Amino acid sequence: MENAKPTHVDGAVGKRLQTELMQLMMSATDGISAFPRDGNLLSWTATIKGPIDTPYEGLTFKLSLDFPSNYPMSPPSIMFTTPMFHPNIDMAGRICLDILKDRWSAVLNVQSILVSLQSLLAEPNNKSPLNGQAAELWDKDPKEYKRLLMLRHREADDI
Amino acid sequence: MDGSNSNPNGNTRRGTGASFMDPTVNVWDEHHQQHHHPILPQHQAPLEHQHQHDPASVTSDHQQQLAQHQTPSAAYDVAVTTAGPADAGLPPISLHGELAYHDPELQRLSQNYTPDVSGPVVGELKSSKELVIEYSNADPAFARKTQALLPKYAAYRKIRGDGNCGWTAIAFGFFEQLLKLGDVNRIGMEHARVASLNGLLSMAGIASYIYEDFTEVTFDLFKIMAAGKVDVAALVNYFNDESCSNAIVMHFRLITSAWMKNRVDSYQPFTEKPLLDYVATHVDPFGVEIDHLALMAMCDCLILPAGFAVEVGYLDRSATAEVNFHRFNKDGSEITPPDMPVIRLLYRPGHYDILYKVEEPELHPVLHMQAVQPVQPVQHVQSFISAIPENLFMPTPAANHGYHDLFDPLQMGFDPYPASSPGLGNFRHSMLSLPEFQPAPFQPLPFQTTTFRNSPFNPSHFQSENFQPEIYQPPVSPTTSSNGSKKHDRHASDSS
Repeated sequence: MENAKPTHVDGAVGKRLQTELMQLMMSATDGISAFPRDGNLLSWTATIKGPIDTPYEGLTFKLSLDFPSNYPMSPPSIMFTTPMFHPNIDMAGRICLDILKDRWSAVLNVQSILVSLQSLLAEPNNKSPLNGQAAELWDKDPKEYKRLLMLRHREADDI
Repeated sequence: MDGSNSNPNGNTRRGTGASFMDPTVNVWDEHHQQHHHPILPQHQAPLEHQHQHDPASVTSDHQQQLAQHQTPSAAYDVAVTTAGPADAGLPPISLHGELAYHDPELQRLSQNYTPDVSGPVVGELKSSKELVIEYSNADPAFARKTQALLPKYAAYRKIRGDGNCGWTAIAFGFFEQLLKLGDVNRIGMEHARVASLNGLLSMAGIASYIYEDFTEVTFDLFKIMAAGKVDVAALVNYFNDESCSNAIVMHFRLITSAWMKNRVDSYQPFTEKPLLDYVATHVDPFGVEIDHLALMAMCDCLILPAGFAVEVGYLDRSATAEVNFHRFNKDGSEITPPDMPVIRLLYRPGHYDILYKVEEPELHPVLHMQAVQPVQPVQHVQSFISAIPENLFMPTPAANHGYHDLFDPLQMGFDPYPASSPGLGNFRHSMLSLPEFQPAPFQPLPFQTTTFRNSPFNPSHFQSENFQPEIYQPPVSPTTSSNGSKKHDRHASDSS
């Protein structure tokens, strides 16, 4: 990881992201990790482990985080890079989660976003689905849900 | 930056690479069009920007795009907002936009609309006449009200319509009023008070490393203000550094948010939403305009405890002759001390600017009374001057600055001991003050003794038959001349 030392980003954004990185590394949360990609402090790669007792248990998912230059005033844009099957995540990996849109607040951070995403995996909002099929199968047919999920899923190392 | 707020999908679209060739991609757009309909602040934002910055560019096309994007409950806002000067010549449009509502092309245009946010965060002080000119061709209500505004509120300061204008206006107004007081102690007290509110942030569970990025900027401003390094122009510059004003706005948002969450019972009655939802959608997100409830809470926790009041003038199309002002006072009291600093805002639907009242002229008589007191020599005048009532010496305002010179008895030629006063030599005030005179040839006699001087044989003695007051000269004494004359006076009156 020595060569992946983040390049300097000017001003408050850089300061904030560096602090967040330090906090993430010092107080590791179970099943969550994130680190700047290619030494660029404004784009990170994160991983989430699937929560237990869900179809996602035992699976690992990768995400990309891109921070705007006025972060944390605006939220980062976040996508699953691991192919996903979930009611609130579309086939392109885009996520529908209020805290990433109109409920974004500058006090949220990478850690709290990833924890929220982890709980979104466990508790999808089926009333406003991006993936209608997944929303329908979630309650109706867990087996089929799992089958379709595994059909799409690629472990992180294979991507 | 604010574009991303008013167009929530913008960021997310970026990075949709060609690697995902998926037929369901369109679902994203449709989903978000439906999903985000009820969220008004973000969709209202474009109206505000258009309205404020480039009224001439507002086309009916735009209005339809925007109007069709509103829920019916928001239609009133649209109606009011679009009543600005730019729309004066346009035919009324269908606000509910039934036809346009399902037009995917307009949907797309509306979704991709990015407001043109430009100009300084806090503008320079301008004459309110510009407001009158801006609205001269607009709806009669606007023209009438801006005209009525002019005599009382001479100036205004434009705040950039980036979705934070209400927050920015109050924050700037707060620091400006504090600066105008010119009291270092007051600045220090306010610094301490605002710093103590950080406890609220910690209570709300926000990590200190997160909020300190914002609060430190505010505290830095307090510090340089207390050091006397800031005037109003420097304050404007400080706010126009976006990293500074953003941080201050965010700081004040966080405090307001934590304050409201701490007092759910006080604020819940003002909104139908659960209060925590309200705070999460109206206070916390950067770039979402302040509304009445948030404004009230912000004043309660940040502005009113400073001893300031906040007045908001509502410039709208209501039938009144003048702009209606609403005053936010401590404890809801209607009475404000006349010297209380007031932050005045002008609200146009969706936008706040700062308004300035015509300063009342200072009361001069008060100053004169203070100016008279230090003039002490008047009391030493023993003669007729002391008999004159003192208030005769009250100067006219014009003579204020010259008072001391004019009425200083010494400089006017009055001596406190008028017997020897050369300037009034021919004026006999009274018997007691008659000066002694002596013909010059007789004086001084080298062998004078006290007995001789007090005897009628001394030609300068008033009982001497040769005494001639008209040519009397004070004797030259061994000490200074003034002492000598004093001595002589005493002697003269003794002997009489």
